[in-house]
Amino acid sequence: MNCQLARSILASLQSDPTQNAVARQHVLTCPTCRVQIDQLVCGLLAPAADEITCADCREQLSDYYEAVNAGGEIPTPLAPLAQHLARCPYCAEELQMLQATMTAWATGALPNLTQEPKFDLSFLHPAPIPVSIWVQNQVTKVRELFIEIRIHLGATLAAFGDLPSALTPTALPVLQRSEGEAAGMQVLILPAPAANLSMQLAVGPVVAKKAALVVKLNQADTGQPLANLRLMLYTAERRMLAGSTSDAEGSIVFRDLALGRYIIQVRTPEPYEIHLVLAEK
Amino acid sequence: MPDLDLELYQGCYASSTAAYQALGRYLLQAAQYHLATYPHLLADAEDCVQEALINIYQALQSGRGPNQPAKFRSWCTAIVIFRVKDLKRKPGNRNPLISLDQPTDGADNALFESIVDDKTSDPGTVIPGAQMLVDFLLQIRDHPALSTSERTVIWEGYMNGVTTAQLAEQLGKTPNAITLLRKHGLDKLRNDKALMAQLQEIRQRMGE
Repeated sequence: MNCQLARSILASLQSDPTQNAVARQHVLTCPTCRVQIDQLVCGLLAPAADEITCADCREQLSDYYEAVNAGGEIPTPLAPLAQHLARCPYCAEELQMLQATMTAWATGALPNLTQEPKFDLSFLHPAPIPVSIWVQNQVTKVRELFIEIRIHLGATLAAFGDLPSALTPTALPVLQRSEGEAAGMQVLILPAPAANLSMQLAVGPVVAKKAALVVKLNQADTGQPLANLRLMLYTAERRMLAGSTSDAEGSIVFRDLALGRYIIQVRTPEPYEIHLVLAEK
Repeated sequence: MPDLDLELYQGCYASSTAAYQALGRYLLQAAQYHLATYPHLLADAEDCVQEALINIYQALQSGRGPNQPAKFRSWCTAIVIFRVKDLKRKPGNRNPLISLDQPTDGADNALFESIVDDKTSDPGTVIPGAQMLVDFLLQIRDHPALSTSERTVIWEGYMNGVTTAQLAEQLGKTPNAITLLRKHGLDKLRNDKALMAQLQEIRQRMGE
């Protein structure tokens, strides 16, 4: 179990006891997770006027370094950072490391490289290639439902491909606003019996390499829309991107999703997750 | 030197391969500088730099880079240092060459560092002190005084490293509102005398 998943499970007030135990075991043995807890402890023990976190501190650390390096007074916007650095040994150490590196660079004390490094810089010039979307569905509790789905996106039609026989997409007419014409869109119904829900998934047209993801939640046994259910959108690294609540129709739309890996989590007593890979091919 | 930095800054903004290669070379030196006493992690330094280069590229592309060439190097350096620091913290990556008696860095005063030694940092080994910390964390999670928003802001901010700006965007609130939620939430926890007394006890048992 990775850190993000463990913390995500622990964060849930209603998580499964077995998963909870596994997550707890991970945190007990993982130095990275324990540092995160300690950072919270540091924050609790030292009240500050502006409670910034270590993540906020990282965002501005180089600005702070530059301000200190320039001499004179620390600018007002960086005052909370100074307070944080005074009470957080982790961030203070990172500032120390930054100062040491910059000094070593200025004095020529950085180590010489024994060989020329070979970095993969292909991200600088991404090739223009056709867009397709891959969807990987993993239901945390119901492992037999692990499937991988590919979605082909055309100008007017989004179609799921390579589906297991148990899952059949349904074609529904959807108005494509960019062209002002009715267009077809396929909806995939993903059952989650353990959570007594079924999730309908549709992907909107890709514009400027960004897509809209439409999620609709229905009760599995009655087919009634599930309103007021909380859905969270995470990156593959379990960093929360968005959280939303289903409307009266049980629908939620995540717009402007860049290509990448995502996890949608439905906050029900039985955790239900869809793992998406939106990728170019 | 400043002219070289200007060249690097402009080259990276222009997505120049040569500029990124030069930047990567410098960042690798910086990473190796901090991994000198971690010979078993030197091979991972290049991965840290690779990740840092991608982060730098993404930040520049989305206009989140420094606005002055003179600040570019320290900004990039900070990014790779965070990667190196995170690498050192991963299970099993603590320095096997350094004994407990030998202070290695500023973080050794911290609560967590005080309860970890080289033997117990092996993956899979539970440290008795950590048990108390995790119990304490779960008490915070379940604390009845916290509202859902306060709980989310505290948990995501501290446990998942989500910045105030990111949380503001995700929750549809202003950064000031997020800061207030965090402050109110932490104050509520601090006002729980029993909880704070327990925290003090944990610290004492772990030797501060």
